[in-house]
Amino acid sequence: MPDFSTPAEHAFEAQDLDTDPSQTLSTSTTALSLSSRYSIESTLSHILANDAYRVIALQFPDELLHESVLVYRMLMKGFKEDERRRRADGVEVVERQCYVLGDSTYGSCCPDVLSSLHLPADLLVHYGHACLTRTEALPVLYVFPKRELDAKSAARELFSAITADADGEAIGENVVVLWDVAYDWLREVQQPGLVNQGGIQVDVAAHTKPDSDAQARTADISEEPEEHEQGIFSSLRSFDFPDGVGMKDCTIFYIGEESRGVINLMMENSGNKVYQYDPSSGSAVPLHTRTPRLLQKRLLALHRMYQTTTIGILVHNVGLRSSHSLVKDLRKLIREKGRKSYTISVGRVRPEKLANFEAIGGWVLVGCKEGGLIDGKEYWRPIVTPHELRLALQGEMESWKPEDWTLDLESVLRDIKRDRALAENAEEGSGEDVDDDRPIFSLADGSYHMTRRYGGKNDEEKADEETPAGEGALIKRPEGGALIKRSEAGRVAAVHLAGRAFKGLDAYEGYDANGTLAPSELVDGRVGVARGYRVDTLGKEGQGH
Amino acid sequence: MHSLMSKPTNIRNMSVIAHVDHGKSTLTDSLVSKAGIIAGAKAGDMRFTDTRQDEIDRGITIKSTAISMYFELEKDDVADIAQKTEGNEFLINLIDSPGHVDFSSEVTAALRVTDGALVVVDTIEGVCVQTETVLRQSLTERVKPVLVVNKVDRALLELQISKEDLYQTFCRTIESVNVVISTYADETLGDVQVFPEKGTVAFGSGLHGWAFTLRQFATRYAKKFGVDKNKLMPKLWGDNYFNPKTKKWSTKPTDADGKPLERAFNSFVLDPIYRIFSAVMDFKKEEITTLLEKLEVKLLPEEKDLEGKPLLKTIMRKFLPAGDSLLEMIVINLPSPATAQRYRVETLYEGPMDDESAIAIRDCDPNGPLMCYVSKMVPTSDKGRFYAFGRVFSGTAKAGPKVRIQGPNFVPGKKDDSFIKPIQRTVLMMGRYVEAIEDVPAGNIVGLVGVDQFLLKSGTLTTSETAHNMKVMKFSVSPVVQVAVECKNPADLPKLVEGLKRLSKSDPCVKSYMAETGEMIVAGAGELHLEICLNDLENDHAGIPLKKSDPVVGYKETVQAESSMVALSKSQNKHNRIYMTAAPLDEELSKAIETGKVAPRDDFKIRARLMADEFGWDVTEARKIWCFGPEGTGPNLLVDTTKAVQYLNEIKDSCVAGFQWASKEGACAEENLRGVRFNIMDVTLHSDSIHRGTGQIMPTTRRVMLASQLLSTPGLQEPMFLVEIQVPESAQGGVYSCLNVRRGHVFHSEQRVGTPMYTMRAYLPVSESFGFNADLRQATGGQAFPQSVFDHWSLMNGTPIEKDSKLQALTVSIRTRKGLKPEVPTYDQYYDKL
Repeated sequence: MPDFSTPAEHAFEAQDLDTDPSQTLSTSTTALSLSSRYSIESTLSHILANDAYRVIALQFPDELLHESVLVYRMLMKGFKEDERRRRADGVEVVERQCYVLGDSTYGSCCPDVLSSLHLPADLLVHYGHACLTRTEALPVLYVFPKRELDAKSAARELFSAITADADGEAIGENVVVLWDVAYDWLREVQQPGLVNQGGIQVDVAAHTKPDSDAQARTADISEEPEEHEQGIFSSLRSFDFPDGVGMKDCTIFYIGEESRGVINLMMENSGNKVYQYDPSSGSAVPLHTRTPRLLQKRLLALHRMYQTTTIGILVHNVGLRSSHSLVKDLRKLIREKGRKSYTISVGRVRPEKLANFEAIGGWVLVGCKEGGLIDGKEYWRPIVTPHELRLALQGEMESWKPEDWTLDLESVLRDIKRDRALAENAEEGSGEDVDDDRPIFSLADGSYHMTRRYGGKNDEEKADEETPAGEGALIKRPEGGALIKRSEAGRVAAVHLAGRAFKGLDAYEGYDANGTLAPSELVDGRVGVARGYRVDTLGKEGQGH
Repeated sequence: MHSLMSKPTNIRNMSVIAHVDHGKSTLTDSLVSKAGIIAGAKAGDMRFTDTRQDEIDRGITIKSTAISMYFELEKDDVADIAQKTEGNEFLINLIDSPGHVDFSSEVTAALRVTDGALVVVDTIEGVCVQTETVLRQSLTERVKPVLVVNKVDRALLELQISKEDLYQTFCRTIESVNVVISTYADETLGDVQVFPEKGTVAFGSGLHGWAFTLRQFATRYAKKFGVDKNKLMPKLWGDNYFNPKTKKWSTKPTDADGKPLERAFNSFVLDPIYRIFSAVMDFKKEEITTLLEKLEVKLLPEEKDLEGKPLLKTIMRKFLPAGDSLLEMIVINLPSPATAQRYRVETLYEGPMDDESAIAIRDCDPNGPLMCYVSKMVPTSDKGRFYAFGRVFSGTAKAGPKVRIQGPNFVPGKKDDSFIKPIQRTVLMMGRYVEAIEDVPAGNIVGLVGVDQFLLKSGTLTTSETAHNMKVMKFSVSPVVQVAVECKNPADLPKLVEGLKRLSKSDPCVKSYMAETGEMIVAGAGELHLEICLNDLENDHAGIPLKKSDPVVGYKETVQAESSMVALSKSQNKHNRIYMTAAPLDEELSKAIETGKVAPRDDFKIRARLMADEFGWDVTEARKIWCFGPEGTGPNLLVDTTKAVQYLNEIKDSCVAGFQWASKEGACAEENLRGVRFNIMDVTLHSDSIHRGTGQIMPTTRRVMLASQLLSTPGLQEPMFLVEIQVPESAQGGVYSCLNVRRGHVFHSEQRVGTPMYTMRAYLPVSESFGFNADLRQATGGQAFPQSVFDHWSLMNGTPIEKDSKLQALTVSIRTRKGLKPEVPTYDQYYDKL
């Protein structure tokens, strides 16, 4: 079924935002040898230190697959040497095996947990650009690309940009420096170059290469209240603030090319000033001036969601931490709000694939830090993030705050839980009749919209009301046929079908007037593949089948 | 008051309408002062109905304001009322409306809830463009007009014209009003032309607070001469002369000896007024005293010391109080709700004329089912909440019981856009104040609390299960001028969103929405309207500092020829092909679709017949129109011209969705399409339905439409203003040069009889109109007064796909503004080779 898979040309043509060729390992700093580019040494030592790592999965982005064999060989060579050494030492021999994962369906910025689990692998080594979203289920070792950076020039450019922009006003006291993972290898070397800038407190973000044990345990978020501030903490980036300083007080410096990642960073920190230094052009620009427009676009998507009754939960990446529980929670939430959800995973998301689900009025994308936001004009229906969906379902009463915007799945989970607790308290407390069915003003077209609701508390009452109306018209059920329970889902689908010009085939074909099903005669069907069926199989017996 | 409200025969709902600066609000003051709401001395200066600070600062009315007043008619005069009445007490619900053309939507909203209109015309300026517009609107709403010729004091004091000239001026004004009335008259409404001798024309000065109708003079002289006033009235107008020597009436301007006689109107009506004016302004103390005795006007001791204009004002106000004469005219000549709803019901109600709601509206029955039309929202002191302002046409509106609130998209039998909610409170609108009232019976104007959450701008309230909607108002202006707003601080975005919602509610015409690019757009009828709206948004509704873009206009994309070849697009899986061509629609047909004459919901056979008869369509093709777009109603058509294509009906939904999308965002500048017909020529589909799903067909339909649009000489249409300019002859040159610079052209210029003023009509592109008023003022030394109103869409010369053409430059600028790739796409981006 071609519409459900990615075409073969993709591997040659497609360049996603998150896999910019200049950010890949192979083209960067060619001066380095292959083994140092792929950090073979440290990878080996990491793996060899733990006897439990026997099956190792290697994940490469599409552009690096051609070098995967070399990496594989080097690692295997290391393992063999280790085996020999162990044999010589008389220690128990650990046989290790590497596998190269070739499937990049779910994007290459996140660890491909699913394929690893199929092996099943004990450790996943992720090469290339990474979005640093937490995953669960198995330990992951990140090997970032390595690129050169002139920290002095970066610092000079950034500070001159900030001074030019401040226009005489006092510059904020605190500066946080974030950088693309490709520069992480230079952190130790370059940090002083950035920090030693007159009088301004500079903090540098650390990229946590997570401890494998801590990673492997499946964390239950509800029992682990995280007192972090929202924003950068939720990913694998972290830094230590001096006392009394929070993320909100800081100016953010970002070193790296413009990418989906930095756009999301801007939107998650809409209250902060963000300056970007692009090492390839060697200049620094303020980015925060564009943030309002970006957020407004998101707001438009949110407003378009107000009108939807059928929501598709689009699972972009299954391995992310808390994505599973979030999908479950979203499903529950959507049902509670009287709407209908479908959970769909289509691999790489493309407009045509989503347009196939014409019954779905809007999508919520559960994805990682970089792939979790799709903002394409080509998409027929709006696609929102879980955070936005939560607000859209609350309706107008929940005020939308730009500084709360987040792609972090865990904080959305916490918010949903909090909402629920609040709602319960409110119900016990006041018992007031809340007008939750009043229309919502949608800026998408500047008018009021009434949302149709299914299910909910007064479902039965509504069902009775609707019966005489066209949408809930009586459906004749054939005797002996399956008992159709008019569930909420059934009604959503019925309404959708009733609105269509083409009704499809008669569902009760073959039933006679009494509603009994007459056995139909068996006939030969079509034979062949989709490209061309051999329609005329009758009369050519013995050939087709 | 409440007892009066339940007597629909003794209610008069009326609006005051006129051209800008003809003195509506000032005149309204006189009426309000009569009701004792403001002091008589202040009337004329206060402009009680201008409640907003910017209205006071600018000296123009922006929002219409309603006031309810009590009026007691002289017992003797009750007999003159031609319709059924009870007693001599009356309730008058008056709505003062803005005159500036940008706010005509307010006038429309006011006319909907009233039955009569007080048309105010400036003696000197005469009938202007907006006078004509509002008159036309009132007649289509079946609202009966009476006329006031205002600012007579100016004619006397500034122009010092003779009595006969003044009479002639009056005649001309009345004549031109009657011309407009008879042009747009509705047969059902009967003859509604205005005649002084019938008492439907008043003359006066709002500023000085005096006005009269011939009735008053007739009454005065009837007492004196002992003649029946109804016989005297016709004598006081027209070619009637009184010979003081013979004491005989004559219709000839000369007496038996050939000496000229003075016209009765001049000698009996104008003469006393002229004498007062000359006596007071020339400071002739004794003459004043004798005059006052003769006219039975008594001055208070402190008023006797006044001199000049203040004295004149005082005397005239006592002699001919405007409140009395105008209210008398209103009560006697304008219809009561009981009378008016009988003939208005057809134009008010969408449903069948024999259902319970229609019958209750017709009879103005307070015991029937509630039918209430909300025509606009009025902000309350509580920020963000609104009074729903409307009229109870039948039944009784009261707090408590649940009513069905039906929005404009409500369809009977369906649940869309309808809510069952209680009214929280009912209030009377009294200009700046409101007064709570327990219930409001049929025929009254009302403010409702608690309904605003369910209606955006207007809607119908009913208790009947089967009621259809009251007809949606048709505005004479449309929001063609847009501005993108952005908040300076991103943290204020939520406030901006809330502010835009409130702005949308508070004005019947403004549109606020978000463009595809994330820009917040506010669209208004003209520059002034937009300025007021943005001020409100910044200072009131949102209360945050805003960044505003320069005003821009929306364009429409169209095609100018048939496609040069059949466009073809293949679906993404290459298994389906759609062949299509595009062709222009007739301008008449586009207009017919926009006005609703040809509508998507019509029966397709009747529609096909109409299109064949009037627009030269082939009947079979007209029957195979799949849909209208964008939004399912726009002036673009998707027509199936295929022959015997298998599975075609299965992909119809997908095609329609693709068509809606493509007609909303055209190929050149992603503006709406207008006047394009798309013909599906042929379709080849995969035989397995899974391979011709929406995902394959919808994007393909869109692509093939864009390709066929680009293959058919795409063009752009721009909105045009109709500008009417009043200008003295000497300044005409300035007008021409000003218009020429801005691609405008004058198509009509006419001298106003008896004045040096010319009325010029011109078409001006909306995109060139920004700053036009200021430029014109400069070019003519402040002597020209333009009024601009959206008129039509006009095709621009050239095509956006021509390299380096002006139109391409324009298209590129639109694309850049929208954040698109600047290059205009070429057809081969959407066209697939076989």
